Amino acid sequence: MSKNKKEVQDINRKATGEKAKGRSQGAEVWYRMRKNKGAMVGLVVVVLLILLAVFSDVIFDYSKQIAGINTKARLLPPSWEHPFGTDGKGRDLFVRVLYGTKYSLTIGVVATLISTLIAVPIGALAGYYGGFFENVVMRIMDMLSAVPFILMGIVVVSALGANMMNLIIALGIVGIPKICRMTRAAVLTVKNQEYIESARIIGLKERDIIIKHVLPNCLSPIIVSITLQVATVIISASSLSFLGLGVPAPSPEWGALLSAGRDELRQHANLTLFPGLAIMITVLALNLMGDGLRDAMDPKLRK
Amino acid sequence: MKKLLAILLAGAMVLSLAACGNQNGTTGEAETKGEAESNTSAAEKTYKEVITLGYDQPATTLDCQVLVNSIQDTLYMLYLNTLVNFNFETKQIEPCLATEWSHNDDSTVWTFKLRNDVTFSNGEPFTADDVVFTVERMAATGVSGAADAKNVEKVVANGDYEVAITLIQANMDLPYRLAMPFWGMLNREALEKDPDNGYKVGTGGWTPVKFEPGTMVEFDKVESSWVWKDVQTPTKKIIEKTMTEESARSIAVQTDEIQFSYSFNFGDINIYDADPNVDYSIISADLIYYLGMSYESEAIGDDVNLRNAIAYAIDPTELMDVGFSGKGEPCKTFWGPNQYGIYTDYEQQLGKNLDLAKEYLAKSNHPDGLTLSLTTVSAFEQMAEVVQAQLAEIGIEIKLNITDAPGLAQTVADKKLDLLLYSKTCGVYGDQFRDILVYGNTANRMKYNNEKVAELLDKALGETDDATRLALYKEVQEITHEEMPCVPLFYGTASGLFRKGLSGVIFQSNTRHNFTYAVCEESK
Amino acid sequence: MHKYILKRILMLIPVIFGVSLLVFCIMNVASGDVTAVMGAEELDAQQLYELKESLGLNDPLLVRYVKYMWNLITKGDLGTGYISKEPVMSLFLNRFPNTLKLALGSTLVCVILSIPLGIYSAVHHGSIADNVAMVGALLGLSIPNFWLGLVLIVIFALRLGWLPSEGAVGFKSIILPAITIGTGFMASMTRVTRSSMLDVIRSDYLRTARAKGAPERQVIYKHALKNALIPIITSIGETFATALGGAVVTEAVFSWPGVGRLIIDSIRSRDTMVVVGCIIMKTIVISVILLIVDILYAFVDPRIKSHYARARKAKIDE
Repeated sequence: MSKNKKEVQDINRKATGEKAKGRSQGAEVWYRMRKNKGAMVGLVVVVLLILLAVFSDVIFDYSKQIAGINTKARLLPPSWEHPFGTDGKGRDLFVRVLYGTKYSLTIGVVATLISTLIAVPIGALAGYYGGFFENVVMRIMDMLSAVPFILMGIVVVSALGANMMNLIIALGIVGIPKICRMTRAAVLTVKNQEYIESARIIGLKERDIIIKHVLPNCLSPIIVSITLQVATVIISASSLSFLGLGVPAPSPEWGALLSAGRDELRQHANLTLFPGLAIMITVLALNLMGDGLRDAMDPKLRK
Repeated sequence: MKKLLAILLAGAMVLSLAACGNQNGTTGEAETKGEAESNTSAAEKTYKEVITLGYDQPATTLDCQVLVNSIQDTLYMLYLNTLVNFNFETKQIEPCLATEWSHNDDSTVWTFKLRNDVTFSNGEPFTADDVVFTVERMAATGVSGAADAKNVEKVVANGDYEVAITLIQANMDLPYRLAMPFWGMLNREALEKDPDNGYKVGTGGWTPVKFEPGTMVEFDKVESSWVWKDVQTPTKKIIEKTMTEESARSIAVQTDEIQFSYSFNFGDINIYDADPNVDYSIISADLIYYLGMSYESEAIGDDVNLRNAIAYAIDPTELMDVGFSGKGEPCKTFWGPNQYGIYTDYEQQLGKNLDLAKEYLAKSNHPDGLTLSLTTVSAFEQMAEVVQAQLAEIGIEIKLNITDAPGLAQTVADKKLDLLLYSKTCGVYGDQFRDILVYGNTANRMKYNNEKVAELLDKALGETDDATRLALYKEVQEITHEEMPCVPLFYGTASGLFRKGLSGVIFQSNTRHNFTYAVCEESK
Repeated sequence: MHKYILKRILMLIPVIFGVSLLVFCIMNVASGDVTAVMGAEELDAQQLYELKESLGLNDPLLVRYVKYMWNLITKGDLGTGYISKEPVMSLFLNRFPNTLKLALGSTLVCVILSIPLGIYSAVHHGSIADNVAMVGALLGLSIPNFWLGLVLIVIFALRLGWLPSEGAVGFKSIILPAITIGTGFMASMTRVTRSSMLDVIRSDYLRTARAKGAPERQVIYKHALKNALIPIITSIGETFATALGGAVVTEAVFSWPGVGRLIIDSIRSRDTMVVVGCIIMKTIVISVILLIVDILYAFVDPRIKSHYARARKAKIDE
């Protein structure tokens, strides 16, 4: 008499007249995200930016368009030829802004990856085993997050030297506490559920329990965290570049472009406005996507 | 949802475009509006009691023997006096605290007769003993005039108003050195009583009353100072503020928040031409911008070919365009623009010559190019990027190291200096380049150590025959033209943006403007 | 109750020591030879040794750290800046009021903008206005604050000339920086306000109040808001603490003479003592404020209060 899941669903479907919706969990999330217009816009923008970042070097000629100077064409206002105008060294700002996507996305993604790879296992273990280990880990996280984010970034970068690699490392380290705390909290919620208890009774190894049962159910808050973290890292990276502690010249990283444009703020505000707009659009897209993911994955919001 | 988003984003874009629209005018050719005229007319005019100056670099100390740079010197001039002054108009040395001076036959003993009517701001009289104290203090712990002090064998007071300085090595240019603001005379009693603050006591017309290092200094008038014996001004207080943002500084002048801004963006001249309340002054300065190449750099060392390769890859006009909207004058030699003994008649003139540069590079130790670090201060960052692009054309990759003056000292000390983009004040007297050409001097961050050059400079220092002296200095320049310790780039400008009612300011081509007699009319 | 407070304070101490050790070590190891900056090339070996001795630089790193912390705790002395030659503590105390002012101003701006918005969104939950408010708050989070600062400068200081673009003189000068920082925290505070209002609005006792016939406005403001206030107040406290710490970039944009700008200037001039001292002090201040917020929260939150009250009552009954 045991009917499988699909049969039961079919029966229900016939009863209520719904169309067949035999979705897996992933497809369910995707379906719900699709209905969220804001999240979809965010997703599209992010995908476009990734493509831009990946193919930058193919589309643009670095030495001529990015690094080359042409002082005869200094500080031209926006026109058809130069949609964003030219900077103090005659370089086309539009091209530089587009090329700059590469830096921000790379730094954002890799730094967050580093944070995640370190924070998630530590946070999961801390949440699961608790006790002294958890205490120590949480104190260390408190320590790392006691120093304001940007100050810690400044300390690490000025110690290691300002280049892209060190920037990624610095932001990767500084981003650990948030993800670690989030993971631990999620694990704490899941660990006391019945199905974990059952798994234990059945005799599964602790390691298997954590990897196969606990973590997958914590995935949603972690994924949301990660998406939002990338956005935070991008803003922090551009802040550090703005202060001169980020990606070195002549790289057209957005924060660096903003910093360079400051000298000409009175009559050539375009130099500051457009790179900032680029940062804003990227971060907004990521935030919308992250928010959309959170709403889509949150079972409480099932309509 | 999407519609709202689109509206919001569109709104943001409109905001941005509105903000960057209305760009008025092109950067036309600048007219040098000249110096502010003295205002001597009728009594209806009211004058400000407080004059505020805005500078881009912070002042970090008030101890004149510790630090030298444009802002520090400018401040020292307000509360300290030197034995002699250099008049930039007449190009002559004038009496200041000293009334007359003379030297013996071999220029090793200099005797100064001093004024007898000068008191310090703490009431103590200025005597020869204070001169002795100042020189001895500089020799013991001073940095700014250490090179001069090291050359002093002894300094002796003959009574209260005469002092004799005996030098180890003859120096015809001693008066020029002593005219420098950091050789301000300090008071023995003040410093013995209060070693931490006594250096603020001077003989000048002003005295510092409030000091926030890096932010501002406030000066009150010292009515009893000898400076006010023959000249009076209605100004009672002078404040110097650090305002690093050029646009903020310029706007502050336009809104009368400050009355003088040191340097401004030449690209905005059209705005100031249109503003009836402000005036500006751009004068060619005794300032040389150079690209130094360190002898302690592992990559460069004394590789003359590499040095020349770098020299001929640089185009100074591009640097002038980017840094100063084209203002300035390219260098023909590594010497001051108005300096005694300047020689420019070389066969191979300086300037961008890519073929020649590549030729030299091929002969150097790094024919396939290399990576070098370029250190400079944040004010010159844009120009440094231009150098970076120019050197990339011959295959030299540049990593920028943007720091500030103390950080530069650190870089030098850590022996991490490769290239240095910097500026140096020049003077009119022949020996002015000693501090950058002779090993052991502070400005010689490249650690250039050519004994022949040092020898020539020493000989010229004591030489009384004009023709011989000129020949000696010519030889020095020919050597540096060959060896390229530094690439001379261009001569800079000193500029200021100020209220039309400001007068009494003595603009000096060494960028240290004298504000002692500054007066500013209230604007209607 | 007091046990809770004590516990939290005790936990704070290792954190502060850990942070200070970390920052001290990193900065000092990375900063290279400081004596060089003081013109030490002129000195011979003996004089150099004496100079280093006077600066305490001859001791090993950990010993220096211990001495440093000892000076801080017993004398409130953070050493003297290598470049600026002023005592670090006085430099910090000089600038701190400015940073404090800015943090207060920013928090005020955030509160004024977020709370009404959050309440409105909660009350009109699900409407278009609600969605706009949420996206708007998100916008505030996405705009890099130094860019917003520059845009505001361009519009209000350069074009319109209404407000000053730098410095800290007068009331007008705090407006733009406060807005710059405050809008960044809007997203979080609006959301907290909205969700805590929502929680309360939907709750039972409000239904009771409504059933009793109380006017809707009174229901919202007297009953809902009071209870929703708790997480909101925590949010305000956290915003204030974060604004205190994170204003660094905004201070740079507006040349605001606060601690953040002092740190940046000192990094440029390689004045390690100042950087280390300021970061440690800032961290201590922020941690203490967060601690106070936590403790206040514990006092105010009836759940925690009752937990301890019950425990006390139980003890009394024994």
